[in-house]
Amino acid sequence: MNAEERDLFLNPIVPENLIANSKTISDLHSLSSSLLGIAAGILGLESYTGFLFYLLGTLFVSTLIVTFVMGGKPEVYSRGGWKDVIAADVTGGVMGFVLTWTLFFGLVRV
Amino acid sequence: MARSLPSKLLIAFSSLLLAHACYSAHEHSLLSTTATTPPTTPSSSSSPSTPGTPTTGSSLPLDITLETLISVSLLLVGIISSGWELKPISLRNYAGGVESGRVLVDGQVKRGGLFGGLEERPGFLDVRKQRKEFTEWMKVQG
Repeated sequence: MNAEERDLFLNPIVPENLIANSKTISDLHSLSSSLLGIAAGILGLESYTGFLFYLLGTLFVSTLIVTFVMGGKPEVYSRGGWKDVIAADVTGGVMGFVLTWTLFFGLVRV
Repeated sequence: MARSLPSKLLIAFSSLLLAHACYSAHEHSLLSTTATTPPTTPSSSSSPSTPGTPTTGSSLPLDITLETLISVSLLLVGIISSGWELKPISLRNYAGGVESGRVLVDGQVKRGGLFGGLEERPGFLDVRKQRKEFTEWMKVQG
């Protein structure tokens, strides 16, 4: 029995809550990344600047989630703590971001 | 997820702001593409060496940029603070919360905690009473 197994044995977790929490967090991330895409499209960001904007926006959203939803204690609601909140559903978030980014870039700039 | 009134108001206000920023950015890009010729208003005192407005087209005015950034951050704050609920993942924390009523299961307080079912034991069946009820029911039926 290695250290991690023993830790799980001593402090058991509730799998349903773990799944529900990560689903809620990834929902929030995908919703907010499409909003960030709208902002990037309006601002007319191009190439690396846009992705940098997405990165900063995701950090901001993660800070908000930790502050408002988790009450400043991320390790109570997710196994990895901070890292899990930031890295939740990155690929899906980038897809939603690029979708609305290109859409609003095209809409605003005729 | 029950949205509170302040976050609703915040979401409504900031989406209005975002729509306005989008519209003004669109108008600005229209202006800068159509107004390629410098304005020919005769002004006596201004020096003729500086043209009226730089028509780069890619640079937004500062106020639209600020409006976009502020509205999006307010919108994010409004969405995230609108009552999303997470549950503690460690069994100790979760079961304690359920038992004391801090954590709701399916939207209501669960009596006796997670393991309340183990505490419930059925009593003895009163067979004679049930037999009496059954015979009365049979009489009523005919």
